[in-house]
Amino acid sequence: MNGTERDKAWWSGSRLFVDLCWIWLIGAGAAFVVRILVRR
Amino acid sequence: MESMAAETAREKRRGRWWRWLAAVGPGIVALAGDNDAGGLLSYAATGQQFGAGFFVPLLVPLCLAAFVTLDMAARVGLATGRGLASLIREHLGPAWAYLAALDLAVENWLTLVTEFAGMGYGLSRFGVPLIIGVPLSCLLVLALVARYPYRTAERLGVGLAAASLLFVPVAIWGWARGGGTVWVAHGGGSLDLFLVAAIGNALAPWMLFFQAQAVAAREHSALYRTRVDLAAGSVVQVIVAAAVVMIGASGFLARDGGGIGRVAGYLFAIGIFDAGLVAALTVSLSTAWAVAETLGHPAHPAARPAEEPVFYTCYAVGVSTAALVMLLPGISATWVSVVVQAASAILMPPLLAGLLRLANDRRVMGSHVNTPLMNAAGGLVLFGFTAAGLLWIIRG
Repeated sequence: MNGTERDKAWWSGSRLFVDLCWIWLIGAGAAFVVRILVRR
Repeated sequence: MESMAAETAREKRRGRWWRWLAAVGPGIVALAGDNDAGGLLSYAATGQQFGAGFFVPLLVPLCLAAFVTLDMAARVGLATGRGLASLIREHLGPAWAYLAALDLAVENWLTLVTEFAGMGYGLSRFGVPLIIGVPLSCLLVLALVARYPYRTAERLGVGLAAASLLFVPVAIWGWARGGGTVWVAHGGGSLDLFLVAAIGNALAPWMLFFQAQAVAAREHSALYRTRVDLAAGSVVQVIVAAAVVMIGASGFLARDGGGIGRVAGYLFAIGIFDAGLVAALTVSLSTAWAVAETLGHPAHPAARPAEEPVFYTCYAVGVSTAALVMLLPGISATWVSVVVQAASAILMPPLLAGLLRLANDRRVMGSHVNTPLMNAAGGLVLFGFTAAGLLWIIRG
């Protein structure tokens, strides 16, 4: 397995990193929208 | 002989000045663009609610955060001669590419709405109703980009950035009339919301893409000139932002112009219109560049509309829909502006993380790779934005 393949493997730190970013974007984004709707 | 030598010396000197002047551009335009209509309305609202005492000092670390981040984006452009979107897809994989594209598209759509809000708002102070002012602004932006090459838009941006310094005398005017009252809080809004909005206001996702692409597209980019450009942009940004917080604190947003009066109110309206125009140009161009790249059709900034149909179609659709949204009834320009800035604090962390990864990849960056100090500074910015996003979710 070369460096690039390892980077793209789901268990690698790199893959986990981008997954965390997706979770942040979707989770925090949803929380943001809910907050706005509640405040309005 | 003597006159020839003098002539040569003069030409050399002029050559040196031209090289410096030619380097002025992306950083100043990006940072002036960040002080966009939405950003300025948000700063003014912040000043109105909380006075200038707390938020003006906060602008200095925020400006440093913008410098550190844009420096990374500039080095990526400098090292590769390519845009950020295609580099992310190639070196970080499709999961990052889609993440970055979604992030950018959401933020830019929201930001463009606020630019048209600001341009319409500026024109409305001169008696042009929103229903005419917003479509006119939209046509102006489309015409400028269709008619002139990117370089012209950039020069216009530099000129308008200089014009935005008009806010400084207006702020001094307001301060002189308001005295010490501009420093203290007047309203009772949510401090958390305005704090997160101020942090989000310092940087926007489009700036990273714009900075990298614009530096990459230049023929004679060099790191030190790019940094001079960025530093100049940062100074202008912080001066203008501080002035606008003070203008807000002196009561401009009140219908009669508050403490700053009618003439100063007109100057402020011109400034808001300018800011909206510069940002609408830069935001929409960077979105179109990134979307075209993500779709596999990278466009050169010098290309004409007929040569790059995908690029200019994305561009026209993005600009027109954003303008249309502002024509919906019941939308407050100030409220939209504050909320969009706060949203930026949530949208930035994933892009900052991706940029940090790219800037640490020696295969991409070569000699421009991040040093430990740059990583510490970049990490601090990432932490700050994430903490601000969490603050909003928990307490906003």
